[in-house]
Amino acid sequence: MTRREISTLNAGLVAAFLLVLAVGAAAAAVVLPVNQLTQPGGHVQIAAGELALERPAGLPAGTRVSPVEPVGAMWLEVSELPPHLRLLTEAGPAVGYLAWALGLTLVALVIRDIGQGRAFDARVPGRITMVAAVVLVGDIAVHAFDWLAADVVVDRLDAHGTVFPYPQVMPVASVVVAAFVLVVAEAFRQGRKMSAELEGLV
Amino acid sequence: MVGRRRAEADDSEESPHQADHRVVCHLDGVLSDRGMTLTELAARAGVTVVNLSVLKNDRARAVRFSTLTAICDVLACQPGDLFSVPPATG
Repeated sequence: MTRREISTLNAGLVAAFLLVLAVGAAAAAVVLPVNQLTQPGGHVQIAAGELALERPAGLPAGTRVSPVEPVGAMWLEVSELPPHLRLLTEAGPAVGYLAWALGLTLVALVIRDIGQGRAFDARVPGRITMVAAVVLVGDIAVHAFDWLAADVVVDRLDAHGTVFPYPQVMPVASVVVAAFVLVVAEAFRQGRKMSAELEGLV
Repeated sequence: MVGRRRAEADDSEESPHQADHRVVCHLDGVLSDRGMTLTELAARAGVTVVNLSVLKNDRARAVRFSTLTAICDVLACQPGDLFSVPPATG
């Protein structure tokens, strides 16, 4: 086997592995909300504040709080919620898994193209740019849905003032990752221009 | 190497007069004179059949001197035997 063939095979295997992960993530994006519908209640993230590890005064029966990462956050578990709110509590994670599915698929396609000697194919820079968009938009959407779900559930419990939706901050890490990925996309774009200059050179 | 950029076009439909040059390759004729096939030339010159085909069909935009030297050595010819530039029309 030549070195080129080994490289193509490796890239193909990596791409296939990523696609399997993408399918799994897509499945999770569907299964999570559907599974939540089979449960009577749901949970949302709230700010810990001065809460103790039990049901604080002001929260109705059928609720419980417990700690969760990140530090300062707590799970507010509600034993009974209407179906649309149960779906909403899983909207953030579902969107997150969808973003992972899309991002992994795009990366798999890029790796496959590179392995097959088409690193400077016209579609590669666009796909890498889309990965950056998925990272940033996906993270923002996840945080937005998490906050919305918490706000709506706390409002339903009439517990504003007792507990608060966990404050969602600007995802700086995602911005940095997206910026780095955009730089990579630009590198491939420049590479394509150079490749076009050499097209037809024998 | 001609550096002027042009819009991408289907290579199979391109003729020398639509490209940004008028160089015509006579590799076909020289091979025929020598009784050699493209595949044989590729093997002896160390150039891929794909590249030789691109050259033979006037789809090349530039030729490396190393490629030209290898082809001329195998075919015992000069670059002028392989290429010509017809007069501009119109």
